[in-house]
Parts: sequence; structure tokens; C-alpha cells
Amino acid sequence: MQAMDTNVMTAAGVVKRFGRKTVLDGLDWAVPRGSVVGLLGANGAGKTTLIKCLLGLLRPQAGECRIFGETSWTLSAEAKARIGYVAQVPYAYPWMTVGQWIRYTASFYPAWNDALIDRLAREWDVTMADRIGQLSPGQMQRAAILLALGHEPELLVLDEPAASLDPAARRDFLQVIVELAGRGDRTVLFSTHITSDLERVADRVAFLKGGRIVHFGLLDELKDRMQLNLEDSFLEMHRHV
Amino acid sequence: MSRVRDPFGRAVVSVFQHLASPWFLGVFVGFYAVLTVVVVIVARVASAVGRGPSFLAAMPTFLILSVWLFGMMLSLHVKKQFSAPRARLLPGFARAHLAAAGLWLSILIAVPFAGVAGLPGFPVMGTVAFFTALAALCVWIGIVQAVGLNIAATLGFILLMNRPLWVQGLIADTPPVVAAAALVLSAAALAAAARWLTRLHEEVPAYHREWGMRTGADLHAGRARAADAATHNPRLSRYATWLMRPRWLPPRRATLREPFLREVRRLMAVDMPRRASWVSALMFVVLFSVLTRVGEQPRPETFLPLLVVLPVTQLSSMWHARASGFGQELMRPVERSRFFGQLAAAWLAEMSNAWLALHVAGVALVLLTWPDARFWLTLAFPALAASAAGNAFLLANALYWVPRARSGQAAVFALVVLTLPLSGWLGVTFCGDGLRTGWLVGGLIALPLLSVAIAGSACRRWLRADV
Repeated sequence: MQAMDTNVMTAAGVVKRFGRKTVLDGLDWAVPRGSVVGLLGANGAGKTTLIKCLLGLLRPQAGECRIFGETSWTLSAEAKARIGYVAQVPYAYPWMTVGQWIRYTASFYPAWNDALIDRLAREWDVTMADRIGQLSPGQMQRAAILLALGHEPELLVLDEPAASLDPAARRDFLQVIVELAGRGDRTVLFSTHITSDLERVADRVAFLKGGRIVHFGLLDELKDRMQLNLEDSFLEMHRHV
Repeated sequence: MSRVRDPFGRAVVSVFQHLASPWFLGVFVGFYAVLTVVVVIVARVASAVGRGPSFLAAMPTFLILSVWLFGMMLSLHVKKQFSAPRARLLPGFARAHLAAAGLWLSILIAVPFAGVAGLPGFPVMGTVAFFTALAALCVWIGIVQAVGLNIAATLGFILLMNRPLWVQGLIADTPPVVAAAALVLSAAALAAAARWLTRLHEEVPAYHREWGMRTGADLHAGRARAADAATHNPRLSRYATWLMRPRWLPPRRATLREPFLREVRRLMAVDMPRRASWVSALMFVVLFSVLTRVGEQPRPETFLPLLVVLPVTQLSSMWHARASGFGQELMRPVERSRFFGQLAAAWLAEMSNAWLALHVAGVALVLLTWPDARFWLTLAFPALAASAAGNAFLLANALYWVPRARSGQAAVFALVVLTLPLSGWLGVTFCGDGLRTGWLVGGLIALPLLSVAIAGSACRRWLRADV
């Protein structure tokens, strides 16, 4: 029954404060299955906080987040096995090689697509023998994205995934997102500042401001309504909504 | 600080702020500063009324501790300031910060000068030369941060602390000319340290060496350091290669099966250092052997606190270093309770190993080196029980404090503070040539009860923690 839900992730009345600062203020949102959603917001708007609440890494003071019908805070191992997550600053053990890191991560998952990882590693120039401590931020980001794809997640959540990538790596990454989204009911949520990336792959866009989602809808509808490109729409909403 | 506009003033204040943060460190520093002033005044007054000798005999230990403690804090702070790009990019940065460090160092050396210089057995030149040399040693240890130098210096420090009469003899009997030469050499070493700091850059291996209580874990952080160093020097030493090899990795294509508790625990432990427990034991054996070799026969009340505090501080700093990645580790297909449960189990297993290794080493050394070993071994079981209870208490506190502390250093400092009453209890229980059974039994009842209560609270905290 839960698997048949239309929405993969939901947030209802979510409030998250850090000390006196309220970052999420009664936020309601639902991410439909099979969509590719770009999450936009100014610096400090709370995009990372929202993603972490949705994933059950932060505990809201009020409201509830759910993924695959389960409460995010108490996600089962089975539900987690269906999620891929790339944090803004990927964490890894600097003494491991990339190959060891992949092997280590793979061993947690009931299923792992070695062929996919090998192919992507070749295409993205990720060298298995490189030590993680020696990777540049961009190489690290590539390796982290690779790891998030190994178990072919139904839901892929990426927090500013392209920030450290060079243009070629960004193009390859977006290509993978497009491929992934094209396969069945997979859902992708990613936060970004690069609106051109978002325009290339997202079918929906959400705009976070003042601790709430002030706009969520189809990308084309937004552009039609605003009569502007996405970057100008973003600026317009940032100023006036 | 923002109100101080002069770069030198700002640098002076930054050292003060470093010493006073976090607040409990500030309280400790403030308390110690007041204590120092009181001790210095009492030393002068006692000497003036003719009751100096017995009081002055204890002064070297106190003054060495003061200069060492604050000298290390100061040099670590200065090293941190200079191992950042701004040190080379901001105009006037180096001059202002070196002048500020010089001022603080002068105050530090002025304490023994004000305390004992000129009193019987403490000639001015000898006193100033000895403590300036000690301060220079602290500065070099703090800025270079080489493992071998750290270990050698720590052993030297413990020896000096334990041999106040030898120190007093050295200060009193050194001819003024030799003392003056030592003073000049120490000043030159300090000037060389300042010059070295101004030339520090990213390609110097020491630039990346960072102290924190991560160092305690740091066979663990040693891996991170080795990885950092490898960036600049692709030819790794055998030690670094050994350090960076994972202690266990599942075979390729292996995935977790049900029931997989043991496998999760092994996976959780992958980030832990290789054989840290046995290396700790080895360090303890070296320390113990050196003390014995120079005629100090360590007594249970002396070395038990060390045995109690070593494994916990090491492993709590390891946990703290890893905590920054919990958010991403928790997204692997393991429930939150199982993740923290198995991580704690892996941690406990590592700590038990460390505890066992240290105590095996301790008992073996008593048997091999002490002339009255048979008598001391009658205390072995009470000592083991007391040590186990003490470790459990510290471990429970570590679990509770680590997520609250802002830095590994702060977390370990909280543990060190807790160790003081614990050391007091061990000292009273094993003081003299025998055992005070009442104190032992009281502690063996109270400590486990407290540990269970604190550990329960810590578990609830972890299960509700934002990561």
C-alpha cells in the first residue's frame, strides 16, 4: 500500500529551530514519485536543513517528515536501502583508496551494481587506486555521486551536487541524472544554485524562502507564468514573494 | 576583540581568548593563574620568615608543570595561527603575532623568576636559564609536532616532574657562565622558532600536523595525517602504509546478510586504528621502563590513574573525530538504533582490548622489574577491579560528553577533569603500602551505579541527536 503512494517524500507542518533561529517554519511539501525536483533558495534559506529533516538526520521540533510512507526519523534499513544521498561536503575516510571506499560502502547494501560503478568510474575518470585524502573537492564529489548510485536507489537526494564540478563533469553528471530519471519511477531531489543545470534536467522546481516552500510546480508552468527564464524567475521570486 | 584595532593588541587578545575558551578551560586557567600568584607570594613570604627549605623543595615540580602546560598551550595556538594562508598573505600578521607570543612567553618565564629566583638554592641566572630552556623546548615541540619528539619530550617532562631535587641541584650547581650560555642558546632557539614559523608553508610536512585531542586517537587521525602528508610526499613510509591499510574489509561483492550484527560491528570498526590498544600498551611499557630505569619505582596510586584514563581518552577522541560523518553514515541501510548500538559495541570492544593490553603490560612489568613483586601482586585483583570500575565511569561520561563538546579537545578536557576525583579515590584506596578496603568497596559499588545511570542518559541522547 505504502509503495503505491503517489508521493515519495512528504513534510507536514515542519518546524526546525537552531537556538533562537527558526529555519523551517511550518513547512508543508510533497515530492511526487518519478519527478526530478530542483530545490532553489538563497544562501541560508534552509535547503540543507530541509533535506536533512526529510532524510531523518535532523529532528524537527514540530511536524513530521515521511519517506516511502515511513517516518523519516525512524527509517527502516529497507527504506534506507532505496535512498541515495550525496551531502554538500562528502565525508569519507581520507586514508582509504577510492576502491576501498566503494567496497566498504557496497558491503552495506543488499544489492550493488558493480558494472554500473565500473562504467561510471571510467567515464568520469575516477581512479580506484587514488587515496581519498589526495582527491580535489571536485574529484571527491564525483566519487561521492558514484557511491550514491551504486545500489541504484529509487530516491536520489543530492545537496548542491554540482558545486565543485567542472563543466565537463557537470555535463556527465546531469546526463546520469537524466538516464536515472528515465528509468521507471525513480525520483531525484537536488538543491542547487546553478539554474541552468536545473533547467536541463528538472521537471519541477521548488522555491524555499522564509522557512516555507513558497512555490512548487512544473518548471515549464513557472516559466510560462513568469514569462522569464529560470534565473530571472528565481531573482524575481527572491525579491517579491 | 573587535574593539581592539591595533594588530599587536588583537594578537595579544586572541591568545587570551584561546586560553579562556571553552568556558571550563577558562575557569581552569583562571584558577591556575590565581593559584600561581598565591604560590609565588607564599614562596617569598616563607623564605623571608625562614621556613623556605621544605616549601621550596616542592617548587620545581609546580613551576615545571606551569611552564610546560601554558608553554604548550601557547605554542600550539601560535602554530595554528601560522599554519594558515593568512599568515603569509596578511601584511604585518607575522610581526604582530610573534610579538604577542613573545609577550606571553615573557610573562610565563617571569613566573619562576618572581617565584624563586634569588632564594636559597635558586640563583637568578640558573633559574632563568633553566625555565627559558624549558619554554623553548615547549615552543619547538608545539610547532613541529613530530611524534618521536612528542614522546621523548613527554618522557623527559615526567622525569623532571618526578625528580625535583635533581632539578634544584641542576639550577643551583650550574656555574653562572654555563647558565648564561644556556640562556643565550635558549633565546637563539626561540628566535629560530620565530623565523621557522614565518617560513612555514604548505609543502612543509609540519604545516599539516595538527594537535588536538585527535592526537590521542591518532593512530586514527594519524591516518588522516598520513593521508595529508601523502599529498605532498607520494613515497609513504612503511609505518604510514601500515597505518592506512584497513583492518578489515569485506570481500568484493559481499553484502550484509541476516543476521548481520557481527558484520555491522566489524564495518563500524573499520575506521578505528589498527591495533591502537597494543600501541598504547607499548607506550606505557616504555614510560614505565624509563621511570624504573632512573630509579623511580611507580606505585599503584601513581600509575593506576594513567591506566584508567589512557584508553578512554584515546577512544573518545576517536569517536569525536568520526562524529562529523555520522549524517552520511546514517544514510546507509542500518537503523539509527542499530547504527549507534553497533558503533558503541565496536568502540567498547576496542577499549576492552586497550584496557586488557595495558593491564597485561602493567602486571608483566611488576613481575619482571620490581624486587618486591610478590607483595605488590597481592594488590593485583583489587587494582584491576578499581581500574575496571574507573574505566567504566569514564567511558559512560565520554559517551555522554562527546556529543555535547564542540571539539575533541574540549571533550577530553572534560574527561581529564573527571579523572582528578577518580585519581584521588585511587590514591586514597591504594595509598601507602596497603589497601583501604572500605574505600575500595565503596568505589566499586558507587562507580558502576553511576556509570549505568550516565550511560543510560547518554544512549537516550545519541538516539535523539541531530547529525
